[in-house]
Amino acid sequence: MEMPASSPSTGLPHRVNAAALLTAHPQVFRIGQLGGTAEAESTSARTRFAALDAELPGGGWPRPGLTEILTNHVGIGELSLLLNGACTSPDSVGIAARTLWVLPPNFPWIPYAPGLVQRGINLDYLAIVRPKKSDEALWAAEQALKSGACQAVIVWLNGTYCNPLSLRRLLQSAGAGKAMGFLVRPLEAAATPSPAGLRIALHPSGDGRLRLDLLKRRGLPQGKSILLDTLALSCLTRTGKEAKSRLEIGQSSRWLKQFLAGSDSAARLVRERSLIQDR
Amino acid sequence: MLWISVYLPELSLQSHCRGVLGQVRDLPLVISDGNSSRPHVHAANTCAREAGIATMMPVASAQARAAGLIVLPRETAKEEESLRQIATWLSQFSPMTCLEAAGASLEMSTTLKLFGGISNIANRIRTGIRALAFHASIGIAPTPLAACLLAKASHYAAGVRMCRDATQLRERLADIPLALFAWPYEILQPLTALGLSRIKDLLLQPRAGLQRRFGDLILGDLNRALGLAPDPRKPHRVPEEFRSHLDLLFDTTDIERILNPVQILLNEMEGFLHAHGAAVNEILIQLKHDRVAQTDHRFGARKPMRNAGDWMCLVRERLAAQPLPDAVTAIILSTARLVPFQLQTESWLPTRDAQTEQWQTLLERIASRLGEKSVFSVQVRKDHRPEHAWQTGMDGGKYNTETASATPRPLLLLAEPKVLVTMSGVPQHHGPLSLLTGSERIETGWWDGFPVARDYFVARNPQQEICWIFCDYRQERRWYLHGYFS
Repeated sequence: MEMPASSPSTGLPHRVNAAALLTAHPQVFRIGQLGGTAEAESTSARTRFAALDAELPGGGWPRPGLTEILTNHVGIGELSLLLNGACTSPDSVGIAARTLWVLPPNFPWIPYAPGLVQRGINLDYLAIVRPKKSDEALWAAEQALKSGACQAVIVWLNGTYCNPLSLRRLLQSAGAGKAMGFLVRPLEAAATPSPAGLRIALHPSGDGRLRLDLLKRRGLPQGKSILLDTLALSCLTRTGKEAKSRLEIGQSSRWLKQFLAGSDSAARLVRERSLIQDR
Repeated sequence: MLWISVYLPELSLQSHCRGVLGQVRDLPLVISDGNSSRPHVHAANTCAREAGIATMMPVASAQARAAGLIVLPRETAKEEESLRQIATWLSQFSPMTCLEAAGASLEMSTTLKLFGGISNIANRIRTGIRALAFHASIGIAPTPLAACLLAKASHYAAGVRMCRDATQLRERLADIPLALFAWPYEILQPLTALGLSRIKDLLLQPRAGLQRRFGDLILGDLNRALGLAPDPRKPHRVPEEFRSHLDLLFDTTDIERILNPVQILLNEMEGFLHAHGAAVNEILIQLKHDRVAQTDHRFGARKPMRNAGDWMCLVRERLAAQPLPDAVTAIILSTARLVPFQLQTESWLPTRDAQTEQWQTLLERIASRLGEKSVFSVQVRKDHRPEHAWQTGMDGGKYNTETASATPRPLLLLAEPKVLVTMSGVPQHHGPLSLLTGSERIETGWWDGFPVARDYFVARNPQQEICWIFCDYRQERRWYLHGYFS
């Protein structure tokens, strides 16, 4: 009988380390722990919220990956959640991230340029697509994810139903283009299955903060909600106050300058007049 | 001197049906030529040859051998047009490109280094001509006539025959059959009768006798092929404008069957643009129909392009989006004004320019399918009124952070402010709104007819949505919702 080939150092038969092989694969994770492989950690984008980063496999938004944001509200801070990490973090080459927003066909809201600039978004790197039909929106998102030209694509999907095949295609395109896809969908969509690796439901909480429930993630399901001050209400009002105070200082200094200039010229006038009178 | 000769053995067949090659692969098809009362087969495709049809066979007996044989009359004008298009395409490799009877010859010694050696060029020419839906065989020699003979010889016995050294030309040409010269039958027939079938046989004969029997033609051609006599050629002139026409053998409404010929035409255009060192901003594709007037499709790009693949992306998205009014019989591609091509510097790492280009291509692609107005970017405009403080733009204009307002602005703005209901003086939006900040007064704008008089507040409703609302204090203090701090 033939013996299995033995390794020269130990004399033991070669045994393929299945666990090591498996864990080396980027798509494989252990269900018992937060599935953050080294590769995912190096590529994922930080959300800039430490509390959220700690709960996300890989420590940030998955890249490449598809994330679903489920909410029924506009204006509770969902956009700030994405803006902070996805739209401003520079990509691997250090070139500022390009982002494509795909709005639904009859979206009454316009991404407001002055507000975006205040949040540190470079408008040169943002493009908006407003298609006439919803399947065109998915097509545009797929092209953008696949192209590798943009870092993140944010898609607002109006209806509850979305063809699972098109979602799967989005996921594949994100993988091909190494991009982050974000789908903003109504809360009711949580009941339907989705290929997205991360699904987060957003609710307003009583104290003005945002409550995040991670419905799906790689690894252990998460029990309790995360509370985030995404909108940074305090920050909003503070910047308001700061801005106001800055404005006041600016105005006062300008007024002071005018006053001084005025006084100067007045003094000159007086001097000249006195000279004339002297003559 | 180093000449590359391209020989197109199936020119008459392929100039007829190159737009539909995939569809005629399994159909027997011949090109007929000669006397109209007794036509003979001039060329036959593979399927017809497998049925036992050979060239010079009467068409009637060819029809007896293959059921459903498609017989097309030979059109020499179309062949010449195809030859000229191929010569134009080849002009990208050398300014000295000359037309031959069924092919073209290029003098390559001046541009050999530029294109990375003779074998690279030969490969590029072969694949490029295949992309134009022609089959080419290639010969390389120090004289154009020898290159032409080698190209023909390599077609009849596969493999490139190459001779780069003029001193070896005599040995290399020795085995070439005399039938490959374009000599008339009256000369070839007595040569065969004398037992002279190859060049080496001819070279052994006394020259004075050959000249006495056959005149200057044989010796002249031999001398030109061996480089003993000068062989001046007239270069093909690349036309100033590109316009190419492709007939579809079968009318079709299937967009996929139109895209393939369009790709062929775009490949032709790419060679033309390379020959001119130019690029184009706009191309025009005209589709000819049977029953309705021809339809014109104009495709514009923001940046001059010359790559056939880039144009194809644009064309495919747009043509696929709109239905065809009728079956298409022919396609014409023409270019508008040429612009000098600016080459981008290539680098190993992805650079800002490369990224920008990728990004522009993506936006163009989306715009070509969804319409120009569906894709836009937003910019800050210097105006104190919120509705006028932004604008759409696609040119990526520079924004100025100075123009951004010092007080917080929302991320989403309603195009039309929405009137809010007030209950006992408190504005309502999914519940009563509580004000978070003090008022910011924004007013006037009499100069362009949109005067405003508003007090803006940041407010929160019971669902924790942070809204930007204002009170129009001219109209009975009515409240409006204007934006969301999302």
